[in-house]
Amino acid sequence: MSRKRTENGSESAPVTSHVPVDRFGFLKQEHGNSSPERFSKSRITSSTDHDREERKVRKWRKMIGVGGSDWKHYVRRKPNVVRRRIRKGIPDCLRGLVWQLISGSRDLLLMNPGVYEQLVIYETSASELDIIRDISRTFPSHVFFQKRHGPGQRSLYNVLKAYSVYDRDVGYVQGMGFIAGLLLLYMSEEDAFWLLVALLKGAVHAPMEGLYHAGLPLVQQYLFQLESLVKELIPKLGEHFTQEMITPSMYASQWFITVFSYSFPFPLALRIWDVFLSEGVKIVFKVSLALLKYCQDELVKLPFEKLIHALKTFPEDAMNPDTLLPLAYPIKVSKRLEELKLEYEKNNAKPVQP
Amino acid sequence: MARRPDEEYDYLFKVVLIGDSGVGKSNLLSRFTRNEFCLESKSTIGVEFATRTLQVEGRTVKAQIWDTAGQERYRAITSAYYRGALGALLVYDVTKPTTFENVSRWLKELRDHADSNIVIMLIGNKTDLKHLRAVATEDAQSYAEKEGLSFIETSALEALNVEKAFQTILSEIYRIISKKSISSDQTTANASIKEGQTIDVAATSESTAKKPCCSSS
Repeated sequence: MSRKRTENGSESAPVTSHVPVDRFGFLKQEHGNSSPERFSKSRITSSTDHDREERKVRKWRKMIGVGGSDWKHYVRRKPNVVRRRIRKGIPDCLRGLVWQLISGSRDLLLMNPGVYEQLVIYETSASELDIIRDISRTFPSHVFFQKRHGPGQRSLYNVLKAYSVYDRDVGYVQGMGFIAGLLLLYMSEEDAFWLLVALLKGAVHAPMEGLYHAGLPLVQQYLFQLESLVKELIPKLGEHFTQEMITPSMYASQWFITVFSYSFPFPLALRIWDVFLSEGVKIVFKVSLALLKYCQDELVKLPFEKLIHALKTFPEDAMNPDTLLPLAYPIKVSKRLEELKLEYEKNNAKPVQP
Repeated sequence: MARRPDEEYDYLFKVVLIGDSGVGKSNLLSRFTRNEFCLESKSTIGVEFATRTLQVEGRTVKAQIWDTAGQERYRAITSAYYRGALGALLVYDVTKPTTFENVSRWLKELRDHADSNIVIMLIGNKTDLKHLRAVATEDAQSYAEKEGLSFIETSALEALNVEKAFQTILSEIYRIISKKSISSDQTTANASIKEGQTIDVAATSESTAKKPCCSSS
């Protein structure tokens, strides 16, 4: 990943483009995924912040060992320490490696030598044209993916094509590109592919593939669960949504389908991904609920149209990971998610109402 | 609920934008509602929404437009949005024959999920790519006539015919609605519809004599 050189030169990867980009590589004039200025600079402004960052990286290096050699041992011994540190955010320079360790993708890679290459070079996919059509429409404001047929677009194509061959039931579904794209900013093609496999096939947590199967069954289930949780945990807003006829598919399908990588500011998306890979899809519900709760006082005042708009464009303070995530972590959802899943399955076993 | 003056309108029409992925639905919408076009736009995941209030046949009409993801797999989510829609803009790309060939599948999709008297307009988009054109105007025109759809070619990039496309479909919807309102003596009923609700054509037509669709054919 190419990063912008900061004033103190702490991030020294060369810049590949002349256009001004933020520290994550998004064009500065663009909105959407690009990070607001204060996030991009606040991390390393004073020397104390810088020292803290350095200390954090040292701790993390010690925890994972050379190339991840101590990781499993450390996790077994001190799972709570690991979880707490991940929740505080994985240092950006170690993110790619740690993501592969916590997702189980590193093991998959080691168990399947040569498989990725085979999929990319020798296999053909029925989804090739669909993938090509979306390549330039995936993170179009990021320097790595901007250049037509450039290395970013080629890698993205390869990973998605390989996956569509590897799992022909899923094939390629719009939205997967944002996940693959996010991963490619932190690791090689082959690593990104195996992380995609780990997620969709459920190496550590519940498999995600149902999000993309015909009928999008898991999306429908998650939307049902979210709607119920909103009603239970934020009743005033839930009531307002019902009155204004707002359903979660109007705003939250992309939250689940791309795990917030489609439209959330990148610094927030990354922090969510740190926890998502370590703790699973629960965090998507927790963040959704925390966000809605945080904005509740504004949202309950809005009529239908303004409400929909507000649910796609949250205020900057709500999008600050250090504000939102501490609000999300304490929300308890596991037990209710399990119950609501059973309820959903029961409802959908019945014949569909006309 | 009291509405502010800028939100006043006589009618609220729900319209859906459908068609294969990548034909330019989102840019047609942004051109119509914000007069913007983005060459590097992201693919739509799920549904997006925008509105514009404009004058149609001397009445103030608020068009509430739902833009849907085009990939087939997404119909599991998007088809729910056809319900209650008074109009559908069915878009294909004049440079991609498959997107035109798939129009019949989209029509079937509408027949299965939308109200039976929904007004449908066929739109051939991207006419600015002249050297790449692969679907003849005449072919699309005759197909539209055969299926009873109105038809127009547009360029969201050059802002060509976009306004006209929306004006045409909204006028058609207006003509149908106003006939219904008169015949059921509910001229004011539709005007008081709350934001977020949609006019249920199926429900009103039950209480009135069903009028044939007055499409442009």
